Amino acid sequence: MDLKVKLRRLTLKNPVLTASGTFGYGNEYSKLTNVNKLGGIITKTITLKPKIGNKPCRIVETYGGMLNSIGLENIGLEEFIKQKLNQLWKIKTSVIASIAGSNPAEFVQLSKELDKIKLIKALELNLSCPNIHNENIVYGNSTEIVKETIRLVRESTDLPIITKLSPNVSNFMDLVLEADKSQTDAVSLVNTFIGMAVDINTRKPKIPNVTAGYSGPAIKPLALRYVWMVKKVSDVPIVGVGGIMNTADALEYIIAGASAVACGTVNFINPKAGTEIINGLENYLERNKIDSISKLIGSISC
Amino acid sequence: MFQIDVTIINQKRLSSDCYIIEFISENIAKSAKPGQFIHIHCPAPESFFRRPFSIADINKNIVSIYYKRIGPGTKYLSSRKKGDTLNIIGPLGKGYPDNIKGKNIVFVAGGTGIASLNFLAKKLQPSKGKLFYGAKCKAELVFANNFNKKNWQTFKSTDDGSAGFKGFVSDLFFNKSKNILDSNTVVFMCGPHKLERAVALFLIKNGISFYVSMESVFACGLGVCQGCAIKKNRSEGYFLACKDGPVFPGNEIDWKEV
Repeated sequence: MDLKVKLRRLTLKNPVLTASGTFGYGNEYSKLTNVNKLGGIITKTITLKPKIGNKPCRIVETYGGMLNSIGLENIGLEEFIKQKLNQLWKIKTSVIASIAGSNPAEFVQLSKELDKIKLIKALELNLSCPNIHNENIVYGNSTEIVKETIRLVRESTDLPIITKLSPNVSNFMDLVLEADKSQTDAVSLVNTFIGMAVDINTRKPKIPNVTAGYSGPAIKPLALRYVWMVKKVSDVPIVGVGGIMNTADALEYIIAGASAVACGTVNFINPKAGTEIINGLENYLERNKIDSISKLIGSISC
Repeated sequence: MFQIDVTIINQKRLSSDCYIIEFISENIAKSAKPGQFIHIHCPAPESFFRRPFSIADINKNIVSIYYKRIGPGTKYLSSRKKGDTLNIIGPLGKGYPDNIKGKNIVFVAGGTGIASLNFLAKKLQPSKGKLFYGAKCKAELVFANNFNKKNWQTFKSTDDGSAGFKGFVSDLFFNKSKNILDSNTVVFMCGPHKLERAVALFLIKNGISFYVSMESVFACGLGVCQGCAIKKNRSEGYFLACKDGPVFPGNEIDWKEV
């Protein structure tokens, strides 16, 4: 049973990744699950300078999911290299570094430094975090900025590039097609949906920033639709992400067109989800007498 | 740290909405420290996150938690019976320092905050300890097993006056403070944030050393999601209650922001 998948220049030993911001830097969960079995881990987003993150309350439980307004809290590039690389070397799976900047030059600086580190196998460009600067806009909301960012990053590194896009835009398909034209190796679809919650006792928003990113099983039908929509018109490889809790969810994404999937919120509930899904995919292939997962990608018939 | 299925050997309703669950886990029994918690999966439609519970006691390989049924997660828990399994992750977090000898030990517990202090009492075994324990009413002042010994003096309070002092446990504590606090005192505190802030500001003002367990909403419970931020006092940025805590030295926290 071949679980290997190819996302242009990036080959993964299996299609199951962990989403940025939900698995730390890989070692935190190593006591609870066999991290090495995963197809890859995507690190917490790294920014040039450290960010202390948003003031609490940062997370809200909802029916079938959660809101988060973490604010890209991270130790910054310098400390990432100093502190985290030692731990990451112990991990025997593909490490994909997620990066974010407030302008293309910052993306380039991050790419150049991470390019030097052999254990980094790819970059995921976080063009879509909704929580930077207290604003309700995502960084990557125009074809110009998507084009400039990807092209400049491509010039500064040979690492495969995954572009993570937001559903909170009105020109989503234009951005995906531009990312493909700019030769991204894959697109991660999708980042969180913008949502909110109100405290009925204080009559204030539960999150100080008011809005936050919504994730978890409740968004699966929404994110899945984005994957299918893109697959219809483009052959850019897709990392499907949004509400994947189990094998069946992962299969829905793959059949709809994703070459790989990323588990995010589920890690908080069940740290073993990723490895359970890998086992589940193997069982599915065996039961259905399919010898390679790549035969399932986009196999939906409609 | 483990993620395991455990079998409930006892679920007892103490009164009102207050329950104890006991289960067997040699791994957790051997490794857990007072102040640490376990993160329990309570699958119910409106309960998505796991629920954290301080470890309330350990006897041989039997682990106890003490909780109040207040929402969908604890409602699920209260419906579990002897023989049912729970999936738990733990022990998690940084516990109380349990090696403080020769000091004047004072505990302040609000409501279910008594749980972690109950476990700490067993480990600390002070020669003369004082417990201030407050709850909404008499029915909720029900869990203090490890304080029924000669070395503990207990002061109780209820909001409605149905038992002990009528009022908040913080007020009871302030009333008695002149007679019990000295430069040798260390206070350990666990309860609602409102209580903790009131007592913390008092202790800081009077230069008394203290440790506090900070309850938070947890998604991951182990320092990855970065959701449980607590503002630092001495520097910029935030602690994570699940990983840097839940127990903190009292003056490390910016109490203005709690």
